[in-house]
Amino acid sequence: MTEDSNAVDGAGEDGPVNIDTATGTPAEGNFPSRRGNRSAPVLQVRDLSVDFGVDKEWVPAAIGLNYEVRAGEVLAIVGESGSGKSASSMAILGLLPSNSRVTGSVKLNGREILNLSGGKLRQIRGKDVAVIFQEPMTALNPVYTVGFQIVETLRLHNAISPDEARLRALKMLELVELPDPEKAFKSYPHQLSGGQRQRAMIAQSLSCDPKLLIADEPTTALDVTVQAEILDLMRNLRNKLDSAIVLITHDMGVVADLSDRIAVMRKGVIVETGTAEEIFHNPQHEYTQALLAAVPHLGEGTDGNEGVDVTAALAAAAHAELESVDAEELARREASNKAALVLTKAESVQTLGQPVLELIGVAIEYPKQGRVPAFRAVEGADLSIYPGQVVGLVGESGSGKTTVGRAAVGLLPVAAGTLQVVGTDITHARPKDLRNLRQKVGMVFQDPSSSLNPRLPIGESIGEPMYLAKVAKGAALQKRIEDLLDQVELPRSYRNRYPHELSGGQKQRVGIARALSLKPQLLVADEPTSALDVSVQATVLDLLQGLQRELKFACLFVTHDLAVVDYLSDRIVVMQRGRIVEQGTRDEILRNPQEAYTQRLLAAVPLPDPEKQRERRELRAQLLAVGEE
Amino acid sequence: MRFSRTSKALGVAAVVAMALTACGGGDSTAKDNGSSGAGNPSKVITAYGGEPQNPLLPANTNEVFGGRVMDLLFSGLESYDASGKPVLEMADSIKTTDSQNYTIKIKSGQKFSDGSPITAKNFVDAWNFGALSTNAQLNSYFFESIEGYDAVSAMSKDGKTAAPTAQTMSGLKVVDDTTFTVKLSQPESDFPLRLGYTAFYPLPEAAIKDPKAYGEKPVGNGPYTLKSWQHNAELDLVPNPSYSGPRKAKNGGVTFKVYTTADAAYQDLLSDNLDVLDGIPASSIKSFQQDLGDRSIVKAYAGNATITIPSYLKAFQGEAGSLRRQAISKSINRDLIIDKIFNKTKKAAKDFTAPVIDGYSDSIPGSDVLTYDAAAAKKLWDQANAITPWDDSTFTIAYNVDGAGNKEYVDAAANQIKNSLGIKAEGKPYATFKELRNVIGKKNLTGAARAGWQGDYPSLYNFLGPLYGTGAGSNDGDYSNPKFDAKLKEGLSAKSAEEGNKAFNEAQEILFKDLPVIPLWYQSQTGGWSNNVANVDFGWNGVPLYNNITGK
Amino acid sequence: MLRFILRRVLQVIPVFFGATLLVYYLVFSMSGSPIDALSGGKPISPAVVAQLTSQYHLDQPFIVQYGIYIKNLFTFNLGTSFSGRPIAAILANAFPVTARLAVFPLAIEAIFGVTFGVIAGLRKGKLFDGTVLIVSLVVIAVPTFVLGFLLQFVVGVKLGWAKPTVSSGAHWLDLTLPAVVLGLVSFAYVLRLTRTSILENMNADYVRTATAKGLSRRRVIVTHILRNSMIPVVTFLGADLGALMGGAIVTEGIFNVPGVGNTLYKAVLAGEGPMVVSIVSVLVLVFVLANLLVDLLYAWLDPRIRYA
Repeated sequence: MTEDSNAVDGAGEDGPVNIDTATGTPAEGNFPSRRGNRSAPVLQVRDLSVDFGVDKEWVPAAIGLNYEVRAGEVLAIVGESGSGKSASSMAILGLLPSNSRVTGSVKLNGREILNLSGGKLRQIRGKDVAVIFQEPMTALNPVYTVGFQIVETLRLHNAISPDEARLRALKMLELVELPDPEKAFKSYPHQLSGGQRQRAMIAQSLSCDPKLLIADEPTTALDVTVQAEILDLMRNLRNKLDSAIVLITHDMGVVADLSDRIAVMRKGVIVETGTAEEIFHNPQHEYTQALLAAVPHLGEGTDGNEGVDVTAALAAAAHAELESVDAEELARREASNKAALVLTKAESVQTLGQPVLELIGVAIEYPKQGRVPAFRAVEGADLSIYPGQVVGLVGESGSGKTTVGRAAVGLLPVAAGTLQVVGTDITHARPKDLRNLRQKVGMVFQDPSSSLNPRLPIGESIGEPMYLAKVAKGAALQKRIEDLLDQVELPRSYRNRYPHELSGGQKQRVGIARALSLKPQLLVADEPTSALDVSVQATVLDLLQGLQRELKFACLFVTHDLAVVDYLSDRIVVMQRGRIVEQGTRDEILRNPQEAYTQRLLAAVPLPDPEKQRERRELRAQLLAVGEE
Repeated sequence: MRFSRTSKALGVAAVVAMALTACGGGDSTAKDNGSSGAGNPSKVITAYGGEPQNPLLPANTNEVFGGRVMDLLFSGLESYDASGKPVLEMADSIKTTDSQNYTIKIKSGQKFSDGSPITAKNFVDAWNFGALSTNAQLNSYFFESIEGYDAVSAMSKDGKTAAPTAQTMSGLKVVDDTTFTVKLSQPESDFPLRLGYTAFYPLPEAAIKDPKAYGEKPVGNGPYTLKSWQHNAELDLVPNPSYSGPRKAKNGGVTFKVYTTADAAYQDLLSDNLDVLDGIPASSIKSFQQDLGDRSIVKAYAGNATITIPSYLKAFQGEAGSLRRQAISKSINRDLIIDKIFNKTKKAAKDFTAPVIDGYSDSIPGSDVLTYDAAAAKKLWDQANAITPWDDSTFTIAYNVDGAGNKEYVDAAANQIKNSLGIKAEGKPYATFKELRNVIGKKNLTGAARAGWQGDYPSLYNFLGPLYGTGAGSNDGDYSNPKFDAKLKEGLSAKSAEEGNKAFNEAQEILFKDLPVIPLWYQSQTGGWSNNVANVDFGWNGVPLYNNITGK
Repeated sequence: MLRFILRRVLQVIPVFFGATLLVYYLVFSMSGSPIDALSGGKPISPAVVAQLTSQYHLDQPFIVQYGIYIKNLFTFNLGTSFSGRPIAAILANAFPVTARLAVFPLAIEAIFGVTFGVIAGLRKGKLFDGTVLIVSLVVIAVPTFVLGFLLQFVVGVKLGWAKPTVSSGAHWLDLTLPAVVLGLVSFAYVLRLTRTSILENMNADYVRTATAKGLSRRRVIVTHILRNSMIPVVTFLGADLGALMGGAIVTEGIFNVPGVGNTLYKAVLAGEGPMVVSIVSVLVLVFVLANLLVDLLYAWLDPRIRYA
């Protein structure tokens, strides 16, 4: 891994964007240097416009785009949903549905490819230009083995025998660092983990040595530690293969980690382009500024919390020395971090009162279903939330965090231990008891679209719990609904609208209003912002924080996103494989993570700042190295 | 719809009817259809048929589809011609002096189709086999008149199991190779008439040794032999060269195709894939004469339809009951129903028997009760009410739904009764024939029930004795009148057929007074044939005379 | 996989006993004695009735009758029908016919349904798609027996292209008309199912991936879309095979096919418990096997499904 890290730096030094902070190791000679020809971009896009025919009208998705990408260069196209970043990139290969219209010019190595005939376009697809898609589970055909799909690509573009193709496919799988290429070759997509699938997808995309690689949100569906691995891999491969890469993403952290140049898109238009340095440190356009401001930084802190130098904390934990940071400087940062920790510990007042939620040695099982044996999703969980406290429950997929959240509202039975909610022991509660309990506990779900009844106006959705609990009706109920709409900053007139008339963020506000309608003592929020764009996420988080401070409910905030937890939480609980591995105050966890897993998790979060991300990357490599020892 | 003999019974009448076809050559009723008499003698006729319900044994074949095959495979002592008159076949003579003791001489030199000779013993053995209850032959009751039948059909003391006390009937005696005698337990003048019926065919020795195997491939002595029987598909019959009787085959064979519905058969007939169809399906009854033109036939046969009003119904007993029965009979407009529902293919009933039978009369005193007269009917009903009032319940007529056309005519009759008498009346459906029989058999009817009878052999007595005699097997309505029984007895012991018929028709006069059933109409058979055949006619029982059919 | 198959086959045992017991009981509870049906309304001598009753154990209580039936079954003796023929022979007659009359329509609906469905799906909104949708709607809406009579009359009687009914032996060619009738309705369903499935899969990510790899449209359709789209269709066809093997009383009646449907219908009417149960037992087997086949096909088509 160290060598790879070096390679990254080497690449940076030689890359099109001159990153002068890179130090030490010069580029090693094992990379073919085709970058000499800098004047000829691999991909040249001019005045590219995409329209979709909707109800006999042309609706623009991208307007007059201009950009170019050179070999070995990564161009990130950043934007929120609906910005046209994906559509414009798919247009390059003619992958848009038939109701689209594409104009302008796209030149690949100087050759116009936009309006090529089917046959010629097919020769380019997969061979000269390859694509990595977002969700590897659905992007790979579930009914064929990985090997079959790679061999299919190879034999399509190369006149080789099946055996040769097999050997080359295995080589590709080795190249993408799959632990057992033979096994992966024979595996169906569902038999691989998310990260392995994405590696296989990348192997397929790169199998014909493409000149241009379009990566459409390649890590969005992955856990943060897996995301970090895939980003490492892509960085590696860029250097080995010297392809031009167009990276489409909404995640500033990913951008900072990988890109040389950035194009920011909004509503079909590129509002700003520049090097990664320029965009992150000196954004010109206000949208870029707003976008960057909205990104939650891990360790950045909010008004209540001081910023935390997570890198320093991790460095201290790993006893690492970083090449990218001066040792003295690092020592100073580590010291100040420690001081701050001591300070916060002194400051922190011991929270008093009865816990609102208390788990003691709780185990939760998904009951046996037919032949599927019972599955113990959570084991030995101890956790307390006191009134007015926000506890962030963090973990990757499969860690059991959502299970804990569900059990807390009585949606899942407890198999062992005791679970107390608002002073009631619900370990062996009957459904009737739970009904009373649920009035004291609110829940906000991940997907606001599917958790609201599409046939009820949102006013009714909000009022329903109050009506059912018989706390208000008639005019009083209407008044409460209006108050709640005010609280979540939605216009009162929205009460008569239906969910489909609202945006995602607005729907989530409705969800929050409903959850708070009975003035719960505990709010369980399960990934409430994961489905939202960053800028929307920021406003929803702000709202949630404001309401929490105002209403003083306790909150269990379940999420995979450490930055979000950092933003909101008083305490952080880290889960891994059904167990709580570490918990403590925000500062304890961020400044002084004890567990290796917590450290790795923190290190894997990409920072939306190229420089800091480089430090972090290096640190992560060292942490992993320590872990392997 | 055929779906077994049940449905056939349903649609038409009872099931068992069969008889032999008439003497060939001089048959005056056979149609010529314009083609020259001889036609193509090697043409194999395809005919409508069904899967025989039972193994092909004479005493076990009681339904139409097996019967029509058996009648071609076997030759009995006599057969019936198209008009129902018995014609001697195997018998040389059937003699009696007292209607109780018969001496039967058979023609000498007769052979089964496998070459084995036919002697008097073949008849006696076959009859004994058919009568013995442990052989479980469905037609065994045909032998009940013979002395000694009691012994072979005796029951155990608890009345639950068959426990014959003898293996053979004492009334049957072989005199020599060509002669045997029959002694009946009482005089019955129409006994000779029955001898053309399937149950009385002779059987070779092999049949009695292994009836099961024989039933699959019977060896007979009739105008045809069974070449192959593909179950549920077809039965192939070829002419029997050694047959020398009056029903000599005029074609190259008969293939009975097994149909599950008459509708399918009709489509085959229309496209000349089937040569002869008897029983036009209800769906085509209105159009078949137009579809087929001169290739169609409607012919009355020995069968009728009635409505049974059980005597155990309180409201229909005594004088008031008799008035009510008359009122119901007069309130039904038979001609209208025949016209509208049966497309004029039936004839309104004038008595309790059928017109093709010797001795039939359409002017028996009292038969005017069958004439429609709504006003008179109402008056009779009111008279009855004056004696004992009608309890205002609904008058129901039970019928089985699985018989095609039942619902239509029963509902129509019920409607007419309702309109004429001003009472509630309706049809009462039962899903299957079997279910209806069950209710009837247990004497559990709460109203009337549709019924029908098809003659087993062409005799007035066959339409009266089994149906209305006290305690008779098919006396569904439990009718009993000693005067009627006496008249029947008188008829049976009469010295001549004419005398007997006279007594039987006098018995009918009693029935017209008591009306145990309401006669509706006589059955007639509808049918058609393809462009490939000629000389098609139906016998007295509505079955085509297959041996006379010729190819074109 | 072997264990899975074995388990499924073993499942037949309880299903068999449950189904036969239930069916036997239902037939037993039907009112009316089978002997009444046998008599056709003519008198039968009481001695013969008694003889038949004990011969067919009709005087025994239900559970004894059932027990005798099961006992005989284990000696491979299905008994004889009231008509005296061995039930085994009757089944051996009817099932091959029905099997042909099941496979034939199945082939029709599979071949034409899938082909038309694929074309319609690929040309969504075009003339072909619209026509096929309307036609299939009509086919679904019109009752089978109407279709049957119509085809029989037009093709068989008026045009004379085929025999209106099936002749003895029920050869493949003879079965064309009834097979078309039976296949038509399911054909319409298969078509619509295929079409929907194709449409769904056409927008799937992996299809986009396949296109992005540079595969020809043909290869994308045949290799990538079709196999995935066949998964629900195969399920339907498997269920349909089971249904078709049960016999089609109406169609068999119209075209005079001596198949299972009519045999069963007659047996039910006549109250022949052993016969009904024998047929049902075979049908249970057929259904279980058809389902097993579907499951295996399913696993072959979709590797995500694994049985153990």
